[in-house]
Amino acid sequence: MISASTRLALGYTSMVVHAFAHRSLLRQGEVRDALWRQIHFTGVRALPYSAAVAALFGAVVVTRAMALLGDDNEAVLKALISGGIRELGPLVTALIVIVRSSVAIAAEVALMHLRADMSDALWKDATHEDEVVLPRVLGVAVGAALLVVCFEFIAIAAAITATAFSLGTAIETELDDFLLAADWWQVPVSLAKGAMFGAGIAAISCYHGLQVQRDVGEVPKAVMAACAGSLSFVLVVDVLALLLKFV
Amino acid sequence: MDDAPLKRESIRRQVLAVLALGVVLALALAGAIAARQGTFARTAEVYFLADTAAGIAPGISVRLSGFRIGAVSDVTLQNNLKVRVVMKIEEERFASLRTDAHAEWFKEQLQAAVIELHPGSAAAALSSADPRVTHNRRRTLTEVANDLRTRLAPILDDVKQLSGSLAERKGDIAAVIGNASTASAELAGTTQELRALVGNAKTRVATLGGQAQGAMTQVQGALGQVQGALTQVNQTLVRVESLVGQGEKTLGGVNERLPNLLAKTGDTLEQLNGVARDVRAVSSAASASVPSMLRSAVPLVDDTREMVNGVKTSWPVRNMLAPPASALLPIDSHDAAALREPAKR
Repeated sequence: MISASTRLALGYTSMVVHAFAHRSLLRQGEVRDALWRQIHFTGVRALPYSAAVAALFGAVVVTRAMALLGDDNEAVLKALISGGIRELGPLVTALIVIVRSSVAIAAEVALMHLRADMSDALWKDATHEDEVVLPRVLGVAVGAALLVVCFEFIAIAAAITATAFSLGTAIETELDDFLLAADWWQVPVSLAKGAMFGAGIAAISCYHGLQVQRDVGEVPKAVMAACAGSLSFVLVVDVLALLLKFV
Repeated sequence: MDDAPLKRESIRRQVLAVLALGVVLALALAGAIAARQGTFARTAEVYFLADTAAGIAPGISVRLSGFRIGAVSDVTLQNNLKVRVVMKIEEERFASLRTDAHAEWFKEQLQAAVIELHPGSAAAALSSADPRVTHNRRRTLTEVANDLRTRLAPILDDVKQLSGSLAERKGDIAAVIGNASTASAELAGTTQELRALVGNAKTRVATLGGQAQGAMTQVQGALGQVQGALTQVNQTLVRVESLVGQGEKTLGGVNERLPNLLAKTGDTLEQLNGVARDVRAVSSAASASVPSMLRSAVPLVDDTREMVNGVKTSWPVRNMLAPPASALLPIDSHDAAALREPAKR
C-alpha cells in the first residue's frame, strides 16, 4: 500500500517535473494550440457551472452561517471569509475540475495512447509525451486559477447581496465589513492554490492515461484512478496547507 | 474549407478575454481589500506597554470612535517583562491624539479582540518622537461573570436558607395563603356589594337629581308666587300704610274724644254702683219676709187640694169628669218631671 502510494507520488511528480523541464515546447504552434484548448475547456467552458455553484455557495452557506453564528461577529466573519476565499474556493473549484477535466484528460490521453499503439513510431519519442502532458498541466493550472478568481468574486458578491437582503442592511455596509475583515494577500494565495490544484490534477490524469497498455478495458480503470488520485491529491495538499498554516 | 484556424483563433480570443477578466477581478478584489485596510495610506505608529500580551496579536483592529483606523503591527516582550504593542494607524488620525490618549483592549465573547483608542483631551498633541499612550483592559464577560458569581454566591446561600425556613413553615404559609384566599374572596364579595351600592347610589342620585330638578322648578314657581305675594304684600302694605294713616287720624279723633267718654263712663259707673246698692237693700228686705210667706203657703195649698177633691167626688161633677186613670208609679220618687207630668196610659 505504502509502496504503491509512493510509486504513484513519484510518478505524479516526475510527470510535472518532466513537463515543465520541457517548457520550451511551448514555442511549437501545436503545443500552444493544445494549451489554448485546454484553458478553454477547463476555464472558459466550465465558467457558467462554476459561477452557478459559487452563487449558491455564497448566498446559502455564508448567509446561513452568519445567521446562526451572528452577523455582527467579527471573528465569524473573518473565519467565513478566510474559509470561503482561501479554503473552500480553491477546494470547490478543484472538485469541479476533477469532475469535468480530470476524467476527460485521462480518457483522452488513454485513447490517444491506445491509438498510437497502432503506430508505435508516434510514441517512441519521449518528447511527444511531453507535448501531450505540458499543455494539459499548464492549461488546467491556468484554467483552475481562472475559475478560482471567478468563483471567489461571484461567491463574495452573492454573499454580500444575500446577507444585505436577509439582514435588512445596506449592501455598502456589508461590502465594507467584508473589505475590513478580509486580507488582500488571500486573493493571490488562493489563486496560487487553485493553480497548484489544477497542475496536480492534470499531471495525475495524464499519468494514469499514459499507463493504459494495449487494452480498451484499461481506459475506465485509468479514468477512475485519475479521479481518485486527483481527489486524494487535493485533499492531502489542503490538509498539508492547513497544517502548515499555509504560509 | 478548413475552419480549424478560425476555430483556434476563436478559442484563443475567448481564452484571452476570460483571462483578462480574471486578472482584472483578482486585482480589483485584492486592491479593494488593501485600499480599504489602508495598505496604500500613510500610517503612523503608536505604542503602549502592557502587562501581558494575552488577547493581543498582530492584525487585531485598532478603532477610534468605533471606526477601524489601523491594526496592531507588532507585539514584543521587553527586558522588564512588559509587552510593547505597536499599532499602525492612519496618519491623519494620529494628529487628533493628545498626550493623554488612551488605548483600551476589550473582547466580547466570540468577537475578535479590539483596541479602542480614546484621543484624550489634553492641550498638547501626542509626540511623534515617543508616541506612547496609556493602556488598560476592559473586563471580559467571563471576568464580569466571575465577579458576579463571587458577589451572588453569599446571597444565594441566604436565599437557600430562607427557602429552607419557609419550607419548614409550610403549614403556616398554607394557612396564610388560605386566609389570604378567604380574604380575597370576601374582598371580591365586598367589591360586588360596593358595586351594587354604587349602582344604587347612582340611581338614587339620579332620582334625587330629577326630584331636585322638579323641586327647583317648584321653587322657581313658588318664588314666582312669592314674588306675586310680595307684590300683593307691597300693595297691602301700601293699603295698610293708608289705613295706618287713617288709623292715626282715627286715633287722633279718639284721643280727642276719649277724655269726655271716660268722664261719661265714670258717671255711668257711679250710677250703676247706686243701683247695685238699692238692689242689695231690696234683696236684704226680701230675704226677711219671703221665708215666712213660703211657710204660710203650704197649709193653703193643702186646703185647696181637699176642696178640689171634694168637688170632684160630689154629684153631678163626679159624672162630668172622667174617672182618673191609675197612674204608673214613677221610677224615682224624687223625679220632679214625673211629679209634674203624670205617666201616659
